[in-house]
Amino acid sequence: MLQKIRIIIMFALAGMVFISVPVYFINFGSQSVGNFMTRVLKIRVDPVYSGGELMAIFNDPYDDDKGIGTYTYPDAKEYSPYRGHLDLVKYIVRKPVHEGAWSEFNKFWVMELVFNTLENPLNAPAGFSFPLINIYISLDGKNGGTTRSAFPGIQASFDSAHPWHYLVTVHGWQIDGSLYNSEGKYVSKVLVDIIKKDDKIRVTIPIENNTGLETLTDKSISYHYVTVGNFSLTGENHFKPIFLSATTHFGGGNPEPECGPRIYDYLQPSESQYDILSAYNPEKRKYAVLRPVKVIAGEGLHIPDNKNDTMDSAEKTYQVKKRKRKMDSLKSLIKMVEEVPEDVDIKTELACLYFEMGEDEKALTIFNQLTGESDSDQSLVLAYLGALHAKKAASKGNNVEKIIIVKESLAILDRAVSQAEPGSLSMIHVLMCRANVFRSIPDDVFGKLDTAVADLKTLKKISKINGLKEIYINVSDLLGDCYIRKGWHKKAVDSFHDGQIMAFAAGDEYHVLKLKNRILFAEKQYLDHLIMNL
Amino acid sequence: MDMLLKIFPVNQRFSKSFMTSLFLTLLFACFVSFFYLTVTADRQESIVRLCLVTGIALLYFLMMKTGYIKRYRSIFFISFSVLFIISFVGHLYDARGHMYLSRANISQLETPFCHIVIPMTIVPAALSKTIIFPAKMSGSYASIGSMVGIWLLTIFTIGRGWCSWVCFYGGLDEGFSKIGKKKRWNIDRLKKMRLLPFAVLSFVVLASFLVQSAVYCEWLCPFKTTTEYAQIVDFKSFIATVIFIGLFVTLVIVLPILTRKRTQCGLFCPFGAFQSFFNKSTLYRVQIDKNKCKDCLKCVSGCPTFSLTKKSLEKGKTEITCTRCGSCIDNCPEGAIDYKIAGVPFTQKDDYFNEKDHSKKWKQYIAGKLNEIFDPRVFLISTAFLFGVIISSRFLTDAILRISNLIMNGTMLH
Ligand code: SF4
Ligand code: SF4
Ligand code: SF4
Repeated sequence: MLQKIRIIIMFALAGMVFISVPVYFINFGSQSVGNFMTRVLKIRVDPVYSGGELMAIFNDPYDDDKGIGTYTYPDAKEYSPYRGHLDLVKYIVRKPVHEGAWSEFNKFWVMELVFNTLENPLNAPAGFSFPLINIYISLDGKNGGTTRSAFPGIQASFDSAHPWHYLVTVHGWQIDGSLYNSEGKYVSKVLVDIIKKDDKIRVTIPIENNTGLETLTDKSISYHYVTVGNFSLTGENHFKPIFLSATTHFGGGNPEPECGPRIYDYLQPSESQYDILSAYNPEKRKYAVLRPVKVIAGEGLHIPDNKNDTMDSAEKTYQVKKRKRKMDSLKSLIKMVEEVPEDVDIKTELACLYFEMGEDEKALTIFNQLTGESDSDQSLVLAYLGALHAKKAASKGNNVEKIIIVKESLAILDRAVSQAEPGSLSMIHVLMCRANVFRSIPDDVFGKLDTAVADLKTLKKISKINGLKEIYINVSDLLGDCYIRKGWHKKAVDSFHDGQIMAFAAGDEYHVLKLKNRILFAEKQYLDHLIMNL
Repeated sequence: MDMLLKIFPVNQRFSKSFMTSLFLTLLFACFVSFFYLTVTADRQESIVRLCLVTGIALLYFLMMKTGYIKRYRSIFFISFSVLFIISFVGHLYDARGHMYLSRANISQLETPFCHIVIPMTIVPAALSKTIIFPAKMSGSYASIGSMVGIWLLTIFTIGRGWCSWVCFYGGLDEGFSKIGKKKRWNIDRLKKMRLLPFAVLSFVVLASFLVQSAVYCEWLCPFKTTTEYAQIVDFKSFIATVIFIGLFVTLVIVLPILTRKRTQCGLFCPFGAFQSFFNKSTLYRVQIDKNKCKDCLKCVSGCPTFSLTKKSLEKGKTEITCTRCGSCIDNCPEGAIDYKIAGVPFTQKDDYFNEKDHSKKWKQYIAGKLNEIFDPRVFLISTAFLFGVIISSRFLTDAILRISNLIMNGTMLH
């Protein structure tokens, strides 16, 4: 008897083991394990792989790639959209690594520069065409150093309180960068890597013995002068001159081409970049004196939470207004349907409005009536039915049911898109429905975030062409959100920024404010993401 | 019929009736379908998925009906490896335009994390809470969390059965070991070779801890040849490339062909050795009935991973390295070997429901069917095969679509 019971128990266990396999995969065990490891066990990937722990982060304003405030890009079409290529927006310094892994150097020091946009229209070998980056580093407490530039061309000098000891130069026309000492002597190569999706250039400086860099520790203090010029193959030390007015190949806006700094963007310390760069004296042939940022562990790592009090009330006002507008439309649409019940377009509009207002049952009833109606736009009907179906998943407690419902709705939405007429107005609704569903379901289970991104990009284009400002603003917001989920914080900031500009142009104060907060949020997420990965 | 029997020989001892096989297959196909058919897909993809489900169900049916395992398991296992490479490499080209890992990829923690890294990362993770490998913690199928989760699942389900049913690399080794017609080099005599993977395991765990980096992945892993590898940028990366390609050619191609053994998995892979320790944490065993055994040693010479020795036969058990591949079970002319569930008496198996003791015919029939179903091999095969099928589902579909894309449009990229 006892043995029988044992046999039954063992077989039951074997059955449970079998069932555990599909159940584990249905319930996304893998993702939970990852989260458990990071959140509860606090396990992280060794920071040496990503270049070392974060030491300091500096934000530089967007759209300040204007040198002294007036510089413009050359007119050549390669520079289009004529902004952003030389616009440094973030400078990240990592702690020096003394035991590297999977890397060419055993000891190294990494700096990262994020640009507004990093393009390579001229096919430069390193992957970016325009920026000429010079980072002058002054090590605190180290003797020697100089306040003059290592090479003429930059047309700037350095703060006598912080004479520099090392210069890192990087441009896209050479695979590796170079490290020089204050006498202008070449010390070693510097590794340059491009992280395209973040518009980031990563610079890895080897720490070699007898250079003075080997004494760097996590606690070392240093001062960095980070300058971005425009690269020229023939310019003096590759600095492209900037003249009074721009021509095809040269930038303009420089009243003193012989004396004005050939720097488009400068990582500004507390003083403003324009003030620093324009403080030169052409009569005395005195260059502008650059002031460095102080790099000290922890600098810039804690961006305060941007809780904007006015936001809450603005949001409320906005939502109330929106709701009121919708209520008005609803009233008139209901009346119109009563008057002309055979007009399918009005009916469709009403159903869409119900959907937007969260009246799912009413929307569903009308869309069901419209199914198969030859006069109505079936792709639109399908799209909304798909979205409504997806909503049902939320009410299901069981994961298997949820997955089945979501998958059914995905199929309906795909069908709707394939039926919609390209470029038509209904395409906008159809894509919007699909993107909204695709972006709100877990990507690691359904893998649809990429499609959502593609849809939103198309929507952004269509709405821009058709001047549909409200949609453009909304879509930019949603797209930025998707980018954040993909970990592309830089792109997210750009998308929010696009939306913000449009909102500004449309006089939509609410969205200007909202998107401003989104930008700050994305930047904070970016930091968290960097810190989390360390 | 004779023809059919020739193509699909039947092992009378283990073969199940047609109805039972069909019933079990349908049940298995339901589980498989959930992972294959409930995914939104275009028409082409749906057709591919449907074909795959049918193929998988057929293999399962044949395992049940013929009573033989290794042949049908091999078909799945080897195809999975080959298609995995096609899909994985295709994916790399889609995403990055090249197969190698650039410095930027490494610094962005974009290196896929595979199970073989796990033993090297455990000690540093426990001591300093850091993973010594440049991968993402979560968020993708090749992330650390994802792979660790899958590994944890193996610990109490199939143990080292991973190495014969699920591992996307092992099929290559197995494939090449099937190519040679006969053993040109009888490696069985070098008995202690079996312990080599444990030496490799100890070495890589210790070395990785000392240098705080997964040394096996950086220097040794032969499978980098077929998936991805660090870009050659200096002498060090050049040497690493020479080493891993050399190991691939030797251990995965040449030696398996010469010895008809899985030499990479049986003599080198540290994960295989590591996973061997978790054979005991599962319910399943491979057991030898000493009363039936006639000492012909066919099982020993046929074991691809050196997991049977004379000594182990005497004990009636396999070595801990057994991958539950089923070769010995198929090879034994006496039917002395079979899967077993721990705690369930081995000799009494096949008749838990006392078929003959029932007086009524229908009761006998049901007892007979239940005996057929409540068979440890049904449970193990279903669990291990389902595990492999789920893990492979994305790759198989994607690879076949890529191949059809190549035929129709001349490119394998999406
Ligand atoms: S021994 Fe290693 S390579 Fe071989 S099947 Fe097992 S895990 Fe895969
Ligand atoms: S002992 Fe048998 S089941 Fe285990 S690996 Fe060897 S042949 Fe396969
Ligand atoms: S094949 Fe069967 S009979 Fe021969 S030695 Fe192995 S267990 Fe014994």
